[in-house]
Amino acid sequence: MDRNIDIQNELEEISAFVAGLPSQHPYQVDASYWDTLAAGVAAQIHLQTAGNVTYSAPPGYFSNLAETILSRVTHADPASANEPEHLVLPGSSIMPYEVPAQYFEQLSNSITSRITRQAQQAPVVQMKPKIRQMAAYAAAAAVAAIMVAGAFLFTDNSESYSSLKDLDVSGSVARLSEAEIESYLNSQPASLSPVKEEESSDMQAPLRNMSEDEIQQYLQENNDPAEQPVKGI
Amino acid sequence: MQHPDDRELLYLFKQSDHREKAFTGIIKKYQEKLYWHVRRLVVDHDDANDVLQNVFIKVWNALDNFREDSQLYTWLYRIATNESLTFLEQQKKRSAVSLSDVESGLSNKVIADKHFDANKLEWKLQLGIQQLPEKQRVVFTLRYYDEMPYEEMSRVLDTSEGALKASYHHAVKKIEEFIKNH
Repeated sequence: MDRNIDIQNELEEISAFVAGLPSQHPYQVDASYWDTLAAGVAAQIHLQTAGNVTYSAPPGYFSNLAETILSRVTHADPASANEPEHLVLPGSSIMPYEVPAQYFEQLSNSITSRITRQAQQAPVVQMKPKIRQMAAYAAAAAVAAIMVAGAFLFTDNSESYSSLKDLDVSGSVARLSEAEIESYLNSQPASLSPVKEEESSDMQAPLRNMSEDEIQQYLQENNDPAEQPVKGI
Repeated sequence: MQHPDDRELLYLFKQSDHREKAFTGIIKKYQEKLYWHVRRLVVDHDDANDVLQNVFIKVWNALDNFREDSQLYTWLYRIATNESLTFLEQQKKRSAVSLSDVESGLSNKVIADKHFDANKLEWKLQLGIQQLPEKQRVVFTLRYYDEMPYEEMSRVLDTSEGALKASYHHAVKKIEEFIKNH
């Protein structure tokens, strides 16, 4: 089958290759399918419609229902005359239940008296104004304490540290005169003074008693290969 | 076979005595066009049959509200397209796979067809169509096989004519590339 000329021209403009492809699709279907489709759809529609109503009533049932009931009410069977008076017929607005005499007249009074009784049983105790004020102060103090602690913990203190880092200690010491350094050392407590001669000499005492061979032997035994002197030094 | 005019069918449908006869007339008139449109989208015959039956049931339920200012043909294509895409969407959800997997599933359905012949260009073209994104697939089949004017397609797909032309252009280029590489 030839393709519509406009559509063919459009295709050739886009792609001559696709314009040369077959214009018929390769799918197939049984020829009998077309004869059965309409019947299949009609059956589906009937099923759908039938599915909406499960039960059916006899023809004319609803149109005659009101008349049937009325005729039964107006021409009541004499046999039913002995039935209780409060038996209610369909559609009647009379309630079959009864309430004690004077119930509604007394209802509002009984509710009011119950409310009053309840109020007397559970009096509401007010807190004294002074105690309430103190509690408010205590709460404010607690909040203030939390805020101060938070500010201390979370404030960045790195500024003071950086100012210390920038101090040029060795430069400042170099600018001092010898007399100033000496007077500063003399003014400091004894605990800051260098190690005394007597104390340091005690450390050398065992070495004095050792021969040179013993010292050499000790050094060889405890020699760490990683500490070998670098050549040329 | 000569089919009655759409207006005549719609008029008969509104007469309760002729309702079913008119509806059967609508089915007979459009069943082949709609079937092939649906079949080219869902590929498998059984799936196409299910979708087409749903299309005509929807038409039966909605035909009373059909506004005669639009063409019956356009309206039917619109329902058939939406029903086909909904069917593919449901298949995707049921198998909980990505869109590309559904497309490869459609390609597998093409290959599974009892008449499939990998050497024939018309089958290669079907495989190429199944690689296209959903919208381009619909536009391509409506233009290439149904020869639908852009104006009507615009009413069917609720898309501007410019956008449809662009979609068709991209679809043709992709199909050319697919067939040349396979």
